[in-house]
Amino acid sequence: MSTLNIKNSKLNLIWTARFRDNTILSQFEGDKENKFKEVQDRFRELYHFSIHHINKPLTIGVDLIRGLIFLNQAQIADNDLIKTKDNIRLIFFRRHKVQLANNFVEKNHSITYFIGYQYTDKTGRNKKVIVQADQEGNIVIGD
Amino acid sequence: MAAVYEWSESNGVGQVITDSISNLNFGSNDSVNIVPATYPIDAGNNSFEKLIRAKFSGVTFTSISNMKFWKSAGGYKVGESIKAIANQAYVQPVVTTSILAVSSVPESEGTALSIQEAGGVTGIISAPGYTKYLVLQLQTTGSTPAGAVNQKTFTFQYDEV
Repeated sequence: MSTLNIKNSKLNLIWTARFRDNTILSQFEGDKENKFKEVQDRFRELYHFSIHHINKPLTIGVDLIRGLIFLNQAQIADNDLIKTKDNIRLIFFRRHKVQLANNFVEKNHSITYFIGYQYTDKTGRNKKVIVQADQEGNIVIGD
Repeated sequence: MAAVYEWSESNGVGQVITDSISNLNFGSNDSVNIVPATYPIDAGNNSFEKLIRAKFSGVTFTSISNMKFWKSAGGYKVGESIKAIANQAYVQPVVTTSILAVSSVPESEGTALSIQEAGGVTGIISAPGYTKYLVLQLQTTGSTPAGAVNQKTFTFQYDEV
């Protein structure tokens, strides 16, 4: 893992994907940065996805087999915990919010990481379970 | 690495493109990076329309979606307004009252303008490139006081993986 590349990335939380064939794909591997598309292309094989903070002891992981979210190994309480969850799918994106001063130069640029999963409940409705994290590692549960 | 983006403005009959603009000052001339003192807008008149778009670059992003634009701070002077419309093809900017930008620029995320990719089909940018054009025009009335208007803050939001 290249520390320089990670620092240059402006991202404080970076992802790791684990697949059913026991292969692991990390966002940064040596001097190379892998695109998330490589994860998307293997969604059917993906069983665990996590993001971890590069400066703080914070890891948010999603178990895509059981539909569970973990914060540093501790499972997050979820009202839907014991419900049947079908068709569990990963949710992950970074939301950029850029404030532009009158001269259109960036006044503030925040990045919020959304990670979680969506699933189909027994009534056929789609439900989402999401955790948000900011660049400093502050966590909000829900969207 | 996060995708890199910049704002681009186009001007003139021939769509002269300027990337990495250094300001979005409105003025009485169809040109980029305007100095307001050079091209002031007389009370009762409009600025030239501004046709701007975001340009995304970088090789490690997979997609950009859910792009939104709104005015998040900065009050208007009496009689002043900024009209806006998103997702336009290029047309030469005019100083007459815009027939494209006829609605006030939204002032909250909930009512923000949704911005599409250049193709205007999916709303998703999956390779380096531009969005569709955002057309903005500052309009005044005869009651707008002389002098500089208040500075405005705009917010541009997008989701990236």
